[in-house]
Amino acid sequence: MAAARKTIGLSPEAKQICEDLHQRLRFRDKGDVRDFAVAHAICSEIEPTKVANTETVWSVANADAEIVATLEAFYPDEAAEDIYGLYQNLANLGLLALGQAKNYSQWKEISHLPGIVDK
Amino acid sequence: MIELQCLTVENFGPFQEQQSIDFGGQKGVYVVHGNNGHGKTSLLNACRWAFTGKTKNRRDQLINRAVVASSGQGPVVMRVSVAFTVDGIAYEVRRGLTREPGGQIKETLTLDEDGHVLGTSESKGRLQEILPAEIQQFFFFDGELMGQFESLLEEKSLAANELKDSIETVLGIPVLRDAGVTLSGLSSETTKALAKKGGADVKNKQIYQALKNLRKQEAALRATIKGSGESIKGSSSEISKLEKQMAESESTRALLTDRDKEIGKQGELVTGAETALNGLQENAATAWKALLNNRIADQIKDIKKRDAEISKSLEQKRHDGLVEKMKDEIAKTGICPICEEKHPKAKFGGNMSTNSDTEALSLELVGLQRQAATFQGLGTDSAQAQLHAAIQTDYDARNALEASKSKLRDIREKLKGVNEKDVGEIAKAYSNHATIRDTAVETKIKAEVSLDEVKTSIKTLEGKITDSGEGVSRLNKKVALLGELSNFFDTASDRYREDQKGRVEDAATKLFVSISQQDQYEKLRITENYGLEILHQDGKVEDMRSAGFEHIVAVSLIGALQETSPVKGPVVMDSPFGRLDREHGDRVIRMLPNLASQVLLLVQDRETTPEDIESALNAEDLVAQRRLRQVSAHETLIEPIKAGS
Repeated sequence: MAAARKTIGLSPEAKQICEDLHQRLRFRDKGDVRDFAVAHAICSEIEPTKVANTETVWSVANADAEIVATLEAFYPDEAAEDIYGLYQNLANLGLLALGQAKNYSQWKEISHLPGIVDK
Repeated sequence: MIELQCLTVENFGPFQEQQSIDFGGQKGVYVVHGNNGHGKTSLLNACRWAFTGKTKNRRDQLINRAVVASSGQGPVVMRVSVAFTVDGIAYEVRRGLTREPGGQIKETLTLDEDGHVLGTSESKGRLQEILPAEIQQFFFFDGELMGQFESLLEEKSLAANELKDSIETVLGIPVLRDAGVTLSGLSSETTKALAKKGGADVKNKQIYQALKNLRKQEAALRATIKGSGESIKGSSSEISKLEKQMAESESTRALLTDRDKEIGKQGELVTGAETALNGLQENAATAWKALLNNRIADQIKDIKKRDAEISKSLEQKRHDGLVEKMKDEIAKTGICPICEEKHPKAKFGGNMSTNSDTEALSLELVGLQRQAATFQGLGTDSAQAQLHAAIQTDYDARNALEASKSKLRDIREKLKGVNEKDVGEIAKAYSNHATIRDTAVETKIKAEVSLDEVKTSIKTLEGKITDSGEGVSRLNKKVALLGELSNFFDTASDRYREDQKGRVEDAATKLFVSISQQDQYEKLRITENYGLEILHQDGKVEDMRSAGFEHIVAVSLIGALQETSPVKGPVVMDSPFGRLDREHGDRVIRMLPNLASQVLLLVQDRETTPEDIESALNAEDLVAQRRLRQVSAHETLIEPIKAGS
């Protein structure tokens, strides 16, 4: 069994998107953007494939316990194998998906994020 | 009214032998043309000196120098005489200087009154009555006086105070004021006499002492009432001046108030926006829950459906298990375990389910229930509702702040170029004067009430006096009467002053409008100091007066004083058009017959020409024109104007 993961990292592209959204949409914390990206990946039913070339951004101690439980509920098998690996993959994939969204560059408010306000 | 008949000079200034300007009592304008140094100012000085004995030169400088030089050791006599009438009575004033061989100067003065020669002292007194020296400057004036009028607008200047006193004198105000002062003095003297007389009587001593105190109080209260009245008048005058400025600046003040309110409001809105952002950021931390809300709702629905399916399956499996068990029992014993009856031992089909199926389903059910508990425990519904509310609050707060900023920008745009300090000072001055007036009104009312009480007390005490002393009652009545009279003259003096000021303002406005002919100017307004402000049609005070307009205002004031003064007489003007352009100079000339019944105009050719005078004035308004011809440096002749000269 592999040693338990202690960090959550982002690829450079995902990191740039995370920082951009953090600053532009006035999130208090980058971790909040990360968790939103995880939810976006879940809603978009993105396959939690492994994302390579990540650099550490957070310690797992910074991870939200509720979102960990949610991941365990949604992806019991993957979670059982490497919960924080799953967390990291979904965060990266969610951020990249957000970055590729149609109106990404026009978002100025949290309410502009997809799925926040009912259209 | 003083009317000039004839001015004669001999050895005065540049004039040697006897020369005259003869009005012959005619009303109208007499014009003397002459360039600098030809003797115009000497003619003005001759008139002033004859009437008042005042001269701006040393006396020996008044005597013609050429005559002095040619006299050798002999005496030289210089004379000025003016023949005039006052309300039909003929006068001739003769003033002379004799230069003795030793250089001493002797002055002589005689005044003929209706054919009687008065002595020097009596002549001086009579001349002072006819034309007081203090007001001569409004009859004999030059450019210097014109300049002094500007000082009247500077309320604290010494020159303004002196000129103000002179104006009040020419308007006859001191007559009433002095009468009031004299009566007040008499009242004090009589009060003392009364106290002395009454005090001698032991019975009345206490009453007189009390009366003395009450009269002191009465005097003090009258002074307070007068002082308050003046204060009310002064502040009311300032308030009425400021009211127009207040009205003009009302919209600006409203904008400033709006701006200050908006600035205050914006402070609250900034705090509100920060709080809203804080709330939004807090809720954004769980935005992922809000996003998952629908998905989780679907998940929970699926879980419940699967839960029901599994439960049903498990129930069926339990039922099937029981049937299998019974079948096994019957197969073994041939007796049914329920009805306990004998059954033929029969063989049944294979098992309907296995234990392992049941366990798998049970495990799946536990897993689903755990999953459902996790999802339900997230509270995504409330996270979504709270996030939506926070977004709306943030949106509203930022919109309100933006609206406020936009409003503030608009207000600031409108306030561009406004001198906020000026507007503030006007409002402050208005408020200060209003406070002064209100306080003065209150003080006056209180003093009036107290005065009535004191008067009643005085009457009561006076009634208690036993008239044991000779004339006490008479003195009492005298004190009361003098007090009332003094008060009456004080009030009359104030009212007369205000009436005269109003008349001066009206008369000056009439002259000013006819001379200036500027549509934008509405009128002149007189200040407390007799300065004249030019008012525009919109009520604003003209604060950029040109030198020419200062001049027109000065001429208008002199004309107004002439019209309003109880003392009326000729006007002698020396080079009065110095700062006026030709057009305005012509207008002043046309207006001269309205300035006084007789005008002696002393002008330079560059100011106006004999032809201009003839074309500007009606023939009946032009008495004569003369020219000063310089024969030598110290000899000038007054000659008739020749055609084309």
